[in-house]
Amino acid sequence: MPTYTIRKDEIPKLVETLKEKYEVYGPVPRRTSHVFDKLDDVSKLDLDYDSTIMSPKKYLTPNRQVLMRVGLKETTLEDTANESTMDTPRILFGVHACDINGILFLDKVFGGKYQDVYYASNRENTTIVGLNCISPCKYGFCRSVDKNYVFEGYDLFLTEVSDTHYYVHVGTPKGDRIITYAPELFSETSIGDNDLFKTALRKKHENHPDELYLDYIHETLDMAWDDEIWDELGELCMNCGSCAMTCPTCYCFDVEDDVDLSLSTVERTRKWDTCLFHDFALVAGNHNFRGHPPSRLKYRFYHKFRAAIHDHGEIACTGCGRCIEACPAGISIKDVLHRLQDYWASSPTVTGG
Amino acid sequence: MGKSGKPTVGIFGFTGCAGCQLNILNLEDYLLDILGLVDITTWVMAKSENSPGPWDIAIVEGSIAKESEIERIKKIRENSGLLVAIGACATHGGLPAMRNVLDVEAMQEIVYGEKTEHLDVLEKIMPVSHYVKVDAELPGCPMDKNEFVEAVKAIAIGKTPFVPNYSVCYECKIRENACLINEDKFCMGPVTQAGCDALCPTNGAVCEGCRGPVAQVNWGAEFKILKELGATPEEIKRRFLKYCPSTAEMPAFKELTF
Amino acid sequence: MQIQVKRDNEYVPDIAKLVKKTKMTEYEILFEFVFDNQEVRDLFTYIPGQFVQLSIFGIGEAPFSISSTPTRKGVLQLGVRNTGDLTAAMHKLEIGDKVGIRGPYGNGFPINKLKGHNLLFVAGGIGLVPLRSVINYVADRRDDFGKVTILYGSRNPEERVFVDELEKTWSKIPDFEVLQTVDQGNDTWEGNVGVVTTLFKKCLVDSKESMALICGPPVMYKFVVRDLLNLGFARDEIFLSLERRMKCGIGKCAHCQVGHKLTCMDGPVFTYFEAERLQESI
Repeated sequence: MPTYTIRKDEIPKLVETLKEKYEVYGPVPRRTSHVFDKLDDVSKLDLDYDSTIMSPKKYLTPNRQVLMRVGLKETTLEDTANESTMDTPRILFGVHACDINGILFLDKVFGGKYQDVYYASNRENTTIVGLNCISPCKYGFCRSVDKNYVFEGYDLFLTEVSDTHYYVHVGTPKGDRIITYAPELFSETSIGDNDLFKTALRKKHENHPDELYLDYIHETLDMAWDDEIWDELGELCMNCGSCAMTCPTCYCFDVEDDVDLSLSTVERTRKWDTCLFHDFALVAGNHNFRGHPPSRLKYRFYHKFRAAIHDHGEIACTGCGRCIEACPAGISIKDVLHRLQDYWASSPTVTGG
Repeated sequence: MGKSGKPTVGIFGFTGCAGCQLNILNLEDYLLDILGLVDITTWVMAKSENSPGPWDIAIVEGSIAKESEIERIKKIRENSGLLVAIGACATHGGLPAMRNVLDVEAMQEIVYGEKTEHLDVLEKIMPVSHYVKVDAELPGCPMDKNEFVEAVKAIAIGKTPFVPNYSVCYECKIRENACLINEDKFCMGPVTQAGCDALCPTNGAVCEGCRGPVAQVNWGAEFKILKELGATPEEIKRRFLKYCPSTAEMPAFKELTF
Repeated sequence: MQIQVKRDNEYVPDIAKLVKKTKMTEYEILFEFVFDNQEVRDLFTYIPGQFVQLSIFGIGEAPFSISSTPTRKGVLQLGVRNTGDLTAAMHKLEIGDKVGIRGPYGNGFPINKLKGHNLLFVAGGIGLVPLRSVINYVADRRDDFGKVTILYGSRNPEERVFVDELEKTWSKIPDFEVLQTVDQGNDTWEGNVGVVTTLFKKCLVDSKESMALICGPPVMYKFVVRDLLNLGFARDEIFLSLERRMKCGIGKCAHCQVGHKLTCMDGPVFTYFEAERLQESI
């Protein structure tokens, strides 16, 4: 299997070369944090970033996605699904494993029996250059939820193996194309490089703590349905949705018809929504299935760690820690999971361990 | 309907700075299109000839501060199909109502001296909805131009104008701002109704809460946050009521102990 | 295996025309639509209990249970109460006006399982809308099913839907029994007064060889299910159709999540066995 190395100081040159054929996006500093943004200025690319405010899901299922355009006079429908495939192809550069896992989860949500063509075309149009995290980020707990590594979902994957080099895995032909566009920047790996790679992995393993035990999370959530923890958290939670907006696996959306001022054209648009908002489960006749604010906070946990297993075979959390950083009330998903873990562990019939 | 078959609109100002009406005038990109949808028959600020009504839609700016304004708003309500309140003054009392917690007579004396009999002043300044039924509210100081355009379109096509049931944080996060509360700043974003596209936090300034409380507001949680950041209870109360003094009447607010 | 119209993009509806509008009550109208496209018209079929997503362009889109039966080909009827912006706009539609329709979605009632059984229908208010689809299916395939009992409860006589079918059609079919009740009668009402569960005492319901199908307001389910269990119905012989907010109908938007399942994909029809295991379902 061909693997490569690339000098770290050649990355700007690589990005410049790729910009001739792609729109390249990567982490850049913003105020006290980082965001994924278009690399108009390559010098802004900061691959030593901790985390970004929003996950790269914003490029695959953007906050405002026009689903179709409707001419009202003759009732004509124009499908806008393929508009993004006509754009220049896109590279997301420096995506951490947690976020690649988030994308793999979204692949399941937007795939399945009914393909979501908007997501699929954005996904098809996107090349992902992953980046291994040798050290954990401030709020992340990816290893605790088994999302600290990937073996698919990337096109190219970089691992920092020394102060000067990245080790490069090629995941797909899309990734291979990147190599062929700038062959002079990549060297085939030697046995020595492989040793450096193994050392880096060992270091990563030592650096990332494994703090949570989630084996019984779905039973626990069922049992803890009426637990006081939800009302306690409800006192702190303002249902602001910051956690859901920044979450790489939250995908709920609302759809609205945006009409133009001449009332002749409608853009049916989907925008991000979250189960934390007041009218999320409101039906005709003003019946609200989750009218009590804490019930919505509870539901978000229930969806992530119980329903997602039913729907997609895995929990909807990548341990990226963004929600912990974003929560103005200081609610930590990790702490909640710890408490839920204590919920069953504290039972007098559970012994040993 | 007006002569052109378009709905007739009256725009009215009450106690406030008239900035929201000015914001309508400032909608240069849309104004002609809006005039294609509706027939503005009354707008003292912008027209010389004004109809005495009735109107299909009344757009009302400003708070109700004087006895005579009560009569006037009731008359407008009677002569209107839909009544839309625009701006924090009309929706929540706004800055004028800050004086609700102060001694009116003492203030009158400071401003006007001893002769104050000619002043037609209500003891408390209230939002429009305190006196008449309001069909839609566009809060904010000033009201958001985009939200105004969206409301006009919604009414024209037969939809209830969209009211965000979520807080400023939603828009703030979508614009990818690092949380100001986490930078120890007294931001009102989590408890404030969205719709401004998080204008202030995006520019590094805290949310002042000018759009009023979000649906099912959790005052207690925000109180706790600001207190932990070092705000005094008096400071927090002022912050909660600054642009939207009428929220003092909300049961959820009355439950708070400052 | 159901043959379904194949769409390239599941979100883009087919255009349909309103061909018939029947006022049922002050707030409910029965709409009948026909697809513009001949191919769609030919291929469109569904299972009773499924729903479609209907669009009034410019206003929005929402799910509606299908009220007609697939045994009467080419007819697509939706019974709709005027409660919000979209349904208000629907009520203003005129014959020939165009809407968007996509679907059918959801699982529908398990017709094959119901075959050979006696059927008990319990409907409250406009809960009769989806059940009417099954009832007429059974009427059209009479030999495939046993005895049919229809219990219908409404707030008052004026708010009853499908009154003609209840009183003139279904009640005349051999081995069909129709019982009605209202919460509150009026001067001309001579029938039963009381909640729908009071009808259980007024008819002979034998849970042997029987299956029950329920649809009504959220508050109704608990009481009806309790009585059905007392009558000896097994948990998987009771079928409920649930209503939730939906934006997509195809398992993406997550609005209709109930417990750990999706109403649009796993439902809207659930057995009580399933519903009992879904938090907040009934």
